[in-house]
Amino acid sequence: MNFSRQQFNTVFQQPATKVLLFLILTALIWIGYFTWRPPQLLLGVNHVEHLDPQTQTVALTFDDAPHPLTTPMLLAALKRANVNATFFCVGDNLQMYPQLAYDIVHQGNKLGNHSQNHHNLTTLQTAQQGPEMEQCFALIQKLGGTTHLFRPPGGGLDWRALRYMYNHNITLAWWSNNVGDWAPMPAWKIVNHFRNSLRPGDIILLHDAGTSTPQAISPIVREARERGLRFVLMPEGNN
Amino acid sequence: MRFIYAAAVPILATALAAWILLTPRSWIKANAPSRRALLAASCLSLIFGALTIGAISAFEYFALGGEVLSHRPFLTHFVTSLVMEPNNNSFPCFEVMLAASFATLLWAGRPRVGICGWLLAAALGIAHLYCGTNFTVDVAAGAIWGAAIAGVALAICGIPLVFPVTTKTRLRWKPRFQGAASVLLMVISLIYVTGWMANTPNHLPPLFALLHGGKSAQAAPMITPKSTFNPDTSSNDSDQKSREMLLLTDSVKQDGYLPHAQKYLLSVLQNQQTGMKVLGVNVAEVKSGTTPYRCAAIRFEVNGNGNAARKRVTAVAAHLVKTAFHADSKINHIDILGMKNNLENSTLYTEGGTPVFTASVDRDSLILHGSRAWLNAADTNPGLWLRARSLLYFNPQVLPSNEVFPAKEFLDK
Repeated sequence: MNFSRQQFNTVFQQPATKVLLFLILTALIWIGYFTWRPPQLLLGVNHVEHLDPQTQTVALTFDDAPHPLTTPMLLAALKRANVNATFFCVGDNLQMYPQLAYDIVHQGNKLGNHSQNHHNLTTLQTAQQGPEMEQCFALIQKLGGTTHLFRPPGGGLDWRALRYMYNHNITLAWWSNNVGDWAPMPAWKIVNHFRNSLRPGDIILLHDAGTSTPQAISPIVREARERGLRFVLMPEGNN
Repeated sequence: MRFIYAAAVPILATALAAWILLTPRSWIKANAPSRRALLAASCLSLIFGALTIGAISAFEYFALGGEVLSHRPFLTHFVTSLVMEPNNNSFPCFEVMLAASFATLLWAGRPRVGICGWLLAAALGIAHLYCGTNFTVDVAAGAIWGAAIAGVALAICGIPLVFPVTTKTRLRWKPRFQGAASVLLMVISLIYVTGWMANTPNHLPPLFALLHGGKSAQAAPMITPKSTFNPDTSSNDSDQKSREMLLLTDSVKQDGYLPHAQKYLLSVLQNQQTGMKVLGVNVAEVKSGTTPYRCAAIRFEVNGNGNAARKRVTAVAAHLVKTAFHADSKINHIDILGMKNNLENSTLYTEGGTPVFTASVDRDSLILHGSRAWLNAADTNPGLWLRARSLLYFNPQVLPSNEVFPAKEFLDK
């Protein structure tokens, strides 16, 4: 197949050919771009990252629950302070400590999903991501809770996980105030952080495994109440 | 805003394609570049854009061990996200980069069209800020870098840029430097910028951090304790101190930690092995339902890096758990957290170290061989937070060979 320059020009300089080329190129551009960044995921995934600041509320959330040492302490501290919190549970722990999970629910707290094994979702294969979320939801349902809230371990989130959440109507539960108490941290440091940075509408992220977190609860609650803030459970989003 | 956010880049790309393929001859001015050259420049700038994205992804994967260069604002700040992005890199904003490069190419075709394109690109940048998915720095850097790659592509293809200063005056800028030199310049600057960001603790250039109002973007912002430790400044110092004392007394009276048991266990554990440091031991009598039990939380760190340290953390954890069960016969349950004391370029852990191993071990259900031996496997990515709060699975390859480790032994003693 040898085309001369003239033949080439007669075919490719035609307006009809150019329009056809343009249409093909446009289709490629839009399909390619929306495959790279799917708009339904960008715009359609339910998420909660803070509460309405006008309502003067804050929400306490605990990750990595339940924990044999700190969950009973946290529950005692919450009871003393007369607040309820949302516990984002790891499915493995729920299986190991069903009694603690029962205690959490029994005290009026809420369970959320923090994956089955606490693996960063971005490191998993696509086929593993779904079960990682669903198994924990099933366990929570077994314990009598109903929730759509999922908080990805370590904040790890990619397009595959977003797609799964979009398809299965799962709400992404972010936070707005994070002190980083997964590492050993004295209680006064935790309290100081919130004393400096607490604002209306905050979703406070604390960790169940932190051994000084239970001590920090009552000062945090006192501080928030002095500012006229109410404590609520984490809302479900727009499901 | 949400429409612009989702569709601005393909709109600009379509406009560019339309300009190259469909414009009638009468629209094109006499001194405008040929459309073939413009097509070549667009292809080149697309390639440069893809290379930029690839280079930053590769840098994250290889140099940062899977961590992102800069976190999204919704992870670190109080923002309202109108769209949901995956938690990937935020710096620079690739969409604004592409939009800016397309707008610059349109500018080369005809300046007024280019101005419209740049307005759309600016709207996209504002949408990214308004929707809360990028920092100002990210959008600004994306726009600058996008203009730069388009400029280099135009330079290689020999296309001048015309700036209409007033309606009559035109500023014509024809790049003098040759294509190869400009590519070299771009590669060097890319390496420089990525290296600069990697060496900056929060992965943001300090100059740009001023745009955030002086606040540095950290994944886990921690308050420095300077003000509370300074003894002779503030008037409410005594108030602060009394509050701290209250916290301390809270810990003893209310939360049920056992200081003597803690002290004893710490003294037993801290000299067990070299190259290891016990960071903290907590022991408490707690109650689950109606069942009281004694639980210990042990935290330690190990010197070193990579998979060798990872294996060592597991081995030390096994040893410490065994020793602790031996030392205090009343302990029913141990929670152990092992860390490496180097940061491994991690952006998530700004203090303390990288947690690599966590386990909750019941005295009754100590397990020797688990199905999940991958927990200790050498090929797991050491830079990522792999954490399994489950029974402690002792990998026989990790344990010292002379150790015998049946659960019954502990039940007897």
